[in-house]
Amino acid sequence: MMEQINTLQSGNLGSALRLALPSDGELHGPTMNFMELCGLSVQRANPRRYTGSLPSVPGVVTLFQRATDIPAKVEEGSADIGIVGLDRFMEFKRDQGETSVLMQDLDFGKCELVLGVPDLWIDVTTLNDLSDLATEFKGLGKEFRVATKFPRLTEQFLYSHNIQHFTIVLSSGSLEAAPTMGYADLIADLSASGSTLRENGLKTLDDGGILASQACLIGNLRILGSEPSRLSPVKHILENIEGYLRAQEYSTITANVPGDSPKDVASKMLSQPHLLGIQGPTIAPVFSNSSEDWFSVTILVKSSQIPEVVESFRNLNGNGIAVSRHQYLFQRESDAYQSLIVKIKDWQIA
Amino acid sequence: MADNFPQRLPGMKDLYSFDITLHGNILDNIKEFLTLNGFRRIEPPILEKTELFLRKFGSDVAPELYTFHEPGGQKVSLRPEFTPSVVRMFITESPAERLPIRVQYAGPVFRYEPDDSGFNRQFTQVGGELIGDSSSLADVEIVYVATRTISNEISKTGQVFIQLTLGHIGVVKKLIEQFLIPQRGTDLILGNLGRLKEGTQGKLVVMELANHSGLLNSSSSNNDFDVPTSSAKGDAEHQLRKRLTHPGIENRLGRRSADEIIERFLRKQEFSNSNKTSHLEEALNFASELAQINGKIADVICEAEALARNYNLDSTPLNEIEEINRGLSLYGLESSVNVSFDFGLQRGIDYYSGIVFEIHPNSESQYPPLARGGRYDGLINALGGESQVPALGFAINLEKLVSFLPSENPEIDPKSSLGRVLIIPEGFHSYQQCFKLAEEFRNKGKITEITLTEFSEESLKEIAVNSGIETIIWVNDDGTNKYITIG
Repeated sequence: MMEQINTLQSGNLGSALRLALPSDGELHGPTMNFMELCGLSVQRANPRRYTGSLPSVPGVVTLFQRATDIPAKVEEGSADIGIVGLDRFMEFKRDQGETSVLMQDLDFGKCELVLGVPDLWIDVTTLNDLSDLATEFKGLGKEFRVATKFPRLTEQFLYSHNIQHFTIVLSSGSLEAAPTMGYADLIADLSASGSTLRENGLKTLDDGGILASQACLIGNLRILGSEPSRLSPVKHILENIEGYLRAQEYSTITANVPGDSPKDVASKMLSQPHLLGIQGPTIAPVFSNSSEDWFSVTILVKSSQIPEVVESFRNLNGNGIAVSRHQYLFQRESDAYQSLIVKIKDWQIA
Repeated sequence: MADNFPQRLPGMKDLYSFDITLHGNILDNIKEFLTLNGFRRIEPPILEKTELFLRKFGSDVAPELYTFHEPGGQKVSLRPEFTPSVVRMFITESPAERLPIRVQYAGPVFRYEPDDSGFNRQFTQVGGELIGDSSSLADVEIVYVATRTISNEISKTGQVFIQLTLGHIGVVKKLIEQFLIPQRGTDLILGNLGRLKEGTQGKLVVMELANHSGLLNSSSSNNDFDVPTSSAKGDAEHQLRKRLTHPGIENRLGRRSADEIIERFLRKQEFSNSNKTSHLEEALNFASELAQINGKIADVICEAEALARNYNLDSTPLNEIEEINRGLSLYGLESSVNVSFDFGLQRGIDYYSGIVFEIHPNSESQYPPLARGGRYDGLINALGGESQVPALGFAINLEKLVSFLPSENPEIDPKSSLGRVLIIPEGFHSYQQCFKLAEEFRNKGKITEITLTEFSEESLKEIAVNSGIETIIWVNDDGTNKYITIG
């Protein structure tokens, strides 16, 4: 097994693109699911194998890595790209390193890194209170202890909010118990809903959100820049993910609208703000037995606006209003891929 | 030279024999003087954990630190000054030692000045710290030692006067605290005395900072737990106490006691109900006027007393300055030094807790000072010491000091003034004899080099005159020698 990974690292598989995926933790399942939805299902001989492939994209090897290790694997170049939580990436990435975020919001694995203080600290509701308290602790010669698994992000956040007197306590267990057990005053931990905090007698601060995180795709700019053959599978993967995510955002609406001519229908449509669509309507005559002239109109709209669009069609006496979702939605070119090319160029210049 | 040749880093210097001797001589004088004053030498490492420096200075200096990860992953920084290391050494090595103790240090420090024009990013600091004495006589001692160290050197130039500017964060703090504003407000004012000194414009900037950190708007006083404002303070306290002290709840308070929480809650409530934000504005006005007072010590004390009276403040804290003034006159510093007091003098570092001072050549205070110092009673505790230990110290920027001294030849090493010897072998066979000859000269303390050269006797004589060579010896393969003495 190790041999196989070593051959991959030493590049004996030539130009294969190495995609690191989380093998454990809360991101593993959702990542596999997401890949499948993007038409990038991962195939591996059995679940214990550390490597796999993407049957739909030739020239890709998937490497299953512990979620915490992925930023380092991509940075050191033993993987080219990887899916990881933004929180872990920001915590573990190297400053001025080779790694960059290729796609920021993959729309799963959402959580927030927040500060939690005992809920009976009724005098503390904001960072300003925390800043006051830190100053008071300093005056009393007491340590102000913050337990976290994210020392770097927590430290940066507190410093940037003018809280300087504190000690980070690195902790890997269940952090929520730290204040009760008396080894920290407050914690900085991941929270999806805040319920674990509440159950443990902690509360968040009004402005104590350190980082809103979700899964993202990262890549090593040096390797991608120097191995052009790996760019083609990267493009494929970026296109699919981008196409899938955009398809979630938009819907196509088709409706029949009465009118004198395509021009007449078009001008009626343009008078309704919600019926402009992304690029404008497609209008075609409907051949029917009705005495009125009917036209079939198709527009692409943001899914969030469907109710308004439907209402607008009704204002035009529209009928047969059909909404359909898509599997992928592609644009003239891939934004993510274009921005990757720019990033590689910038990196090479720097 | 190829374009990609790795050049010297900006803000860094190469030193040659001349500079090294010059700096070394001055450094030796300073070390000697400090030793005679009871300061023992210590030498901490150049590299420390980044946290040590951040704990002292806060994040403001982080961009100035040379910080990187050790191969093991630990975040470390090159020291930007010695004090944090000295305090660390004190905490770990000698807390039981008899106090007070005096230590001196000298060595390179590193600060990444964003603008590389004219700033040295590496320079030499030499200084001393006095740990464990809180008296005003200790204040005066450090001021005296720092000033004398510099005047010893500067007086050689004929520039008799140097400028000593004093300030006192502790006194300013005690006056500001009388406005009953939150501690964070006091810290903000003390950290911005330099701005407040500029008058109205500076005051507006500080107001904006106060506003930004929630000190001026009352929205920061939202509480989860609303005590009806109508209820008397005693009632409110009773309600809170009932809520925070019922059995089994202790754990849920974290590492604070119910009393601490209730006390702070009520204080906060009171602050937002009463119109205390106007106190902050008043404190800012006072601080701004105070920061603009500077001049002869006796004069500034009178001015500050008058100002304190205008604001109905107790002016007793000003006695501390009076005391320092008396101490200084004991040392008779005024005869060789211009002494002034500046209420707006602050170093932007919030660990200074008492006297602060700067030393400039003459009255050229527009240049960065040659030396700075002050009292930092809270620092040992803040860096992790068990108890409050008073401490103060000063540091001299050696390169800046040297730049004000005449650039004549330094007193060169007495050995080299004896004259060098150059031995020239004719060929391989005479080498052994050359070595023997060289050893004899070196044993007599002569600097001796052996060099195979094709230069003519005439050009060698010329080179010898320019490089301090006194004797040239040619050793022939047949064992014969030829001496010439350059004179």
